[in-house]
Amino acid sequence: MTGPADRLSASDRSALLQSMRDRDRKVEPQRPSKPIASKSWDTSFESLPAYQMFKTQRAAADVLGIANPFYRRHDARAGSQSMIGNQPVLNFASYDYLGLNGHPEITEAVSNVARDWGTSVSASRITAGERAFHQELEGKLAENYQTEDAITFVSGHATAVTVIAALVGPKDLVLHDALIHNCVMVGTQLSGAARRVFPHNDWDVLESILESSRDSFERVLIVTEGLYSMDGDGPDLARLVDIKERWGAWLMVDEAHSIGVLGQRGRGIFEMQNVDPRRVDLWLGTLSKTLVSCGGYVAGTHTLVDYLKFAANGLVYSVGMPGPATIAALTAFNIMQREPERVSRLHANGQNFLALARAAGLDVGSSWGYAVAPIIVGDTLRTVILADRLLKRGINAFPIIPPGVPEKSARLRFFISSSHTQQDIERAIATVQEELSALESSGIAVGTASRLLKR
Amino acid sequence: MGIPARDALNQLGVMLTQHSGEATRYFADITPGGAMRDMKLLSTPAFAPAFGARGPADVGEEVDLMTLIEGLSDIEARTKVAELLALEVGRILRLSAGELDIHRPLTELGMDSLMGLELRMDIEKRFGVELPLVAITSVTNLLDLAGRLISNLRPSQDQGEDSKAPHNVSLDRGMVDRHASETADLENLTPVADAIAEHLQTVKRL
Repeated sequence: MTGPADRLSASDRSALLQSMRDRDRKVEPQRPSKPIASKSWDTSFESLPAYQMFKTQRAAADVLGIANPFYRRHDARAGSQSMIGNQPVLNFASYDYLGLNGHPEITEAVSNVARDWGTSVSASRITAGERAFHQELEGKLAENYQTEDAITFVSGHATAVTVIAALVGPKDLVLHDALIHNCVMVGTQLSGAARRVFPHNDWDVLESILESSRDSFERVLIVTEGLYSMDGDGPDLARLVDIKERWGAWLMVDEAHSIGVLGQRGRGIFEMQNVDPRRVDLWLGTLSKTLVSCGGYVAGTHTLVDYLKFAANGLVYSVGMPGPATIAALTAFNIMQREPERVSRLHANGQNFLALARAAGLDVGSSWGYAVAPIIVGDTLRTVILADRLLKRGINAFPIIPPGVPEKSARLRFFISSSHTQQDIERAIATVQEELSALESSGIAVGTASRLLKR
Repeated sequence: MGIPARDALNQLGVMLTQHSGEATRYFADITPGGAMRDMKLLSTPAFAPAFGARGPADVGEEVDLMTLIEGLSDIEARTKVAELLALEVGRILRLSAGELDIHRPLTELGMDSLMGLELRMDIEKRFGVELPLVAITSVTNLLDLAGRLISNLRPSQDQGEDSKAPHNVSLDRGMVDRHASETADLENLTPVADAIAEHLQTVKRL
């Protein structure tokens, strides 16, 4: 001891602490080496609450004699026409808005790239490297939006998820339209940012939320879509850009359904509404719809794209786009630019669909008449049976029911393509009108479901 | 690392005499929510500066609504419960409860059905009341929701449950309303619920 008698030296003190630690270790072996389970745990998938719910829905459809509309097999390349269960159908459930899927020029370009480069780029681009076709497609997308750069991802859904998660965090706010796609919600949840919703296209509520909450958050990201896939309408982009600039927020526009669709040359909502595309911070989109491939993209500044190349986990830890998928999108883009008459035809078809549906007294909601048009029925059961009967008559349109859409607004959703003919659209509207009025006069609805029971 | 109580007491005496008043500092990572649940001490005012900002609302402590509203008039009770709900909604929306107007529509506050689901779970945990999701998404404001919550506590309240249907296929008023464009008579749907329940046993694939 070097100090007063009542104090421990440094070495004595560490010896004391060590003895306490040793004590701890000595206690350890007395514990059972493997904890014994005191109860049993549920390892079944069947008991998952959502599984039970899906199963009940399946059972309900069975007892009411409704065929399963989900995961239906098509036996032909589905475009404006398809083949379901050996029956040719007029198809209104394909995203191939410009009729490019299977275009010989695309198929040939894809075969060539597969022959030269194979079918995979093996790993993520950060380690396995870039290919010229990546840069070419991204250059094309950037050029479309007049942005400095763009970057592609292997999944459209994952693009939004990973980009949002990379950009915002717990101190930030994501503000999105009530009808926004699931990928935006998932990305926000992953990011830990606060999430607030404004009613569909309600700019006054958006502003009032910003007014009361902007100061409580560091960064704010506003998300909208160029064309909403359930309703076929879109935002007032000029107004939105003005709001986001005044409140110091980022704006992300999801062009999944509007690239190749809106604007005279299909360049997107900025072309249609004549807004400088550089005023939008993030242009997001998919390659799987008009561009008949698979994957997603973001276009924006060099800084944004550089940041995402290191920060977006869905890019850094996920494989790069393979040659065939990249070249399919690139070739489709080139054809779209070269043949703007496809876009014009799509517009004419969409407007025609809307006009005929309205003339037939059908409710098309707020649709703009470009590529997406709902026919709102209201009652879920009536909607599902209508879809079933249309299919029997060779017309495929998908029924969308709550919670996919607001309550009491079940609908058939029609995706219109430049490949549909005037006769296709006339036939579809006439058949819907016939079958819907038959269902209405027979009074088939949720409330009278017991009449459908097989006895 | 834990020390037996007796050892700790012994060492405490030694420490006090040996270290003559020098503070012993100890740093550790703790999850406030979990720690507050397990150590009630942390919820006391003494620890308010460290944990108080989050408040007990974040801990999911159970609240007995009946005791809480005993002797209150209907509107007093609803206001009281609505204020508690505002704490939950505030946590979901990251707003302080003071910023939340219990008269404002939930959608205008920036809520959607997914957040409604979160609120429903909070209500279940905190008040022990299970509400159908549609009860949350269909109310006009928090005051209205508080009313539903209170009326749900009364056993006489008709829940629209069909107790005769086996295997839990119940006819939920809200669920039916969501899908029916015209008001449907639940009684007419009982045969459907029964048929579904019976058929459910044979469903093997979705």
